[in-house]
Amino acid sequence: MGLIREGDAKAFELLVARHQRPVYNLALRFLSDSDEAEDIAQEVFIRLYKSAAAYTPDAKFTTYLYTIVRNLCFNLLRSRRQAVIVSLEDEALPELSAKNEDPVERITRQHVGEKVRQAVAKLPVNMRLAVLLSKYHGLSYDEIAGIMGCSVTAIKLRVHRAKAILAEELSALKDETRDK
Amino acid sequence: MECKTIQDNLSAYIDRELAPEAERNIGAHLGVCEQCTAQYTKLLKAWETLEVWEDVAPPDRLRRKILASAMPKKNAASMRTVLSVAAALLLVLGITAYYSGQKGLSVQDISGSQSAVQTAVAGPISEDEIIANLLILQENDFFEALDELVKIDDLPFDEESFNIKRGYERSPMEQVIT
Repeated sequence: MGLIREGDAKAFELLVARHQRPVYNLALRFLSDSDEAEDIAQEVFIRLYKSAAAYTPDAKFTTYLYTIVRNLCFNLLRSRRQAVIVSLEDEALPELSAKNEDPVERITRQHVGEKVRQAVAKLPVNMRLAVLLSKYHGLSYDEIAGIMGCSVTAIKLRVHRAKAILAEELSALKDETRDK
Repeated sequence: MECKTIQDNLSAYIDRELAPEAERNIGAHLGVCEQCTAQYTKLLKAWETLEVWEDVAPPDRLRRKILASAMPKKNAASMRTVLSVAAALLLVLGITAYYSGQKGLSVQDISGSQSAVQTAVAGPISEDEIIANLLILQENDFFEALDELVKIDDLPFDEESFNIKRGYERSPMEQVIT
């Protein structure tokens, strides 16, 4: 950020290359809309660039970065006027790690992936964001608390409740796949 | 530890967010309590199932859009440079055309088959000619400006006294004119 503040365009390009993927994926998982995720990611980096002069490294850079993502996502949800999750059916399916995967396994994996997304999308927004930051971005409860502006205890409780809800949702899925 | 306390901390146990002592206590409890172990397994499996939802690569256009919208000044600066160079070229061509006209070439001659650059190269102008033409230009401009000034009733300040205060000396040309 210091180099960006000094007008180093290459430093900004490097920062975008390094962080665009996690930023985009956090917004995508949170909003379940690829167009909105793209807009959010773009806006995040514009804000980063514009605020480079005022940036002070009080916390980890990722905490600062994800706080911007969180604020923009929450603003977007407010502008929707309702935190209704749009259909996930049009969204791109997750990348498959095994290219030579058995077709049956692939379909099962896609099915499970879809159920996981639906289960996460059902979580209340604060719980959902805590889960995403913990599970997919590997942040500690302390870092998540910094991003979400609440206590570590609150995050611990949210993640715990979210896990219990997800366990219920996904246990139904396990029964379903077992029956097949 | 009671099962209720254990189960409330199972999530943090999975995430390795507990203090070492609390972690050891829960580990020990899970070794002896089937109910808590079942709950732990259920939470752990659900948490691991989330890994099926993998990252996707952002669209290629995203990076381009970010750079274009965050750093538009770079393009504007380039455009300013291009415009400056173009303006400078136009100025050079204009001056060349003017002096070519002084040497008997019309504007049509320049805009015709012969380029302005060729004209400039073909007809070198002496330094004395340039100075003489500049003096003519200055005088013409000066008289035009003077005509405009006499039309104004109320000048913003007394130029003569202003110049005296500032120790300004009139140029020979100004002295001749006045």
